[in-house]
Amino acid sequence: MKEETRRGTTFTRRSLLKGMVAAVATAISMRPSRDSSAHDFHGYDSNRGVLVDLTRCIGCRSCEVACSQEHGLAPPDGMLENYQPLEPQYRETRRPDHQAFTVVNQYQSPLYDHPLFKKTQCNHCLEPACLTACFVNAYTKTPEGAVIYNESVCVGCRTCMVACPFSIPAFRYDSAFDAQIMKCNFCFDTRLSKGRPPACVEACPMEALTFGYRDELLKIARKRLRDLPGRYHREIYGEFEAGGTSWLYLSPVPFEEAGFDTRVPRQPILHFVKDFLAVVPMVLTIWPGLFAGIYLLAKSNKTADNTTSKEDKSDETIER
Amino acid sequence: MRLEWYQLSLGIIVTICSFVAGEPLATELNRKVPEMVVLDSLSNLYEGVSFDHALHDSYASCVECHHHVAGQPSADPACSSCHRSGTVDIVVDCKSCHLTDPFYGDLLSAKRNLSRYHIDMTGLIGAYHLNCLGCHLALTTGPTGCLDCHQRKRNDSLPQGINGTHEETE
Repeated sequence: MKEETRRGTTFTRRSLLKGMVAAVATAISMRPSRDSSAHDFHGYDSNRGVLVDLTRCIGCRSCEVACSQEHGLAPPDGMLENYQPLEPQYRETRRPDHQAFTVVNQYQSPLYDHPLFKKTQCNHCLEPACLTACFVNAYTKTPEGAVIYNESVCVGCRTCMVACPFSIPAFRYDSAFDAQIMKCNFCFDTRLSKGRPPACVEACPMEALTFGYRDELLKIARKRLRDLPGRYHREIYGEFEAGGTSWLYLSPVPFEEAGFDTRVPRQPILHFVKDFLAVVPMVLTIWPGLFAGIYLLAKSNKTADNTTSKEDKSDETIER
Repeated sequence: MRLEWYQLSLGIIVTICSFVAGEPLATELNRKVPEMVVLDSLSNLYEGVSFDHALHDSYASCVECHHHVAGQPSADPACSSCHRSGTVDIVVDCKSCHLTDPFYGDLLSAKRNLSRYHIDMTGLIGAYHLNCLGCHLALTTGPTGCLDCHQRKRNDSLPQGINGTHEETE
């Protein structure tokens, strides 16, 4: 009996199982700390943003012109000579692409007697899905709040386009050698990094776009909801959507009436994959060693069994 | 019967007195009120906007544009909670309160002060357009097109221009 236990300390099935349980337990115990560290991020304190007030926008598309000039893109279709809100070309729903980082679409709601204009561009999420989806770290969330993109490391996998809940990143397909993701960068290089508002905000004649710190914009939005009851739908789009966005919206009608996607989840997109992603390092680092160990032990056990089988049998018979 | 006559005469005297007391203020204001104002903050891109102040004086009351600085209490409850009685300020022009650059860094930082009330004051361009267009569209009178108010400068060869963006590209 004594001999058996001594042999057991070298390796028996029981000690092997113990080791496996211990390894899994350590792996699991390491996970909560990783989760909680990611949970605590609620955006930078210096995060700037823009409050878009749909009750003020008249659909002049000055923001589109300013954006195209700022980024050296082709000027938007149609002249802005006059304020003509019902021109047919505004009625189709466009989305930002490689030639226009921002677009204004017109919506007609039965709940509102005026046409509604919604400006669309990158919302610069507090926890961007594009950034977390990118495996070469081409995206950066700057302390100023901009989500910027580095084309020099991008491999062109376009995962960010799939990940974005607002369908913003666009790919420049028409250039074979200069293909890259094109999206609004909050005018980071030219303006935001110097503390200035983006070009679209400066161009807006109705001040439908208000630039400021995000926390301050939320206060301004709530002040408008309080001071002008009845003028607004009592919610701020972007306060919680996709975990919070830098661009916030006020609308006179429920947001789905004005072309907003209200199915966007309220927590960061990252939260849906975090549990899975937390397992990936464990699988990649622990499993190879663990299973290789099990394999080797099993193999050596077999050879040991062959040599010691006779002794074992004799021991067992004595005990019985 | 005699008492009623007494009350009536008292009422007349009070009315006349208040009229006389109010008169100097009104005349003083009327003297200062300009007939035409040229709004030229954007004159690097457009000709200044000629604003017929006398015409608008007949359409709207002073508070609708000058809030609480033109001698009458503001009609907006958000303003009148503090500015209960209207004061006649030395400067009553729009640009002395509504800034041409409402998003400069120091102001954005100052707005983060929790005790600050005026966090949502529009800039000059926004104030003009919101007030002018708001009224013109609601009353379906008055100019609403860009070029109705903003005359293009003759030497402007650029195809289209919106606010500061011309300057940037020039």
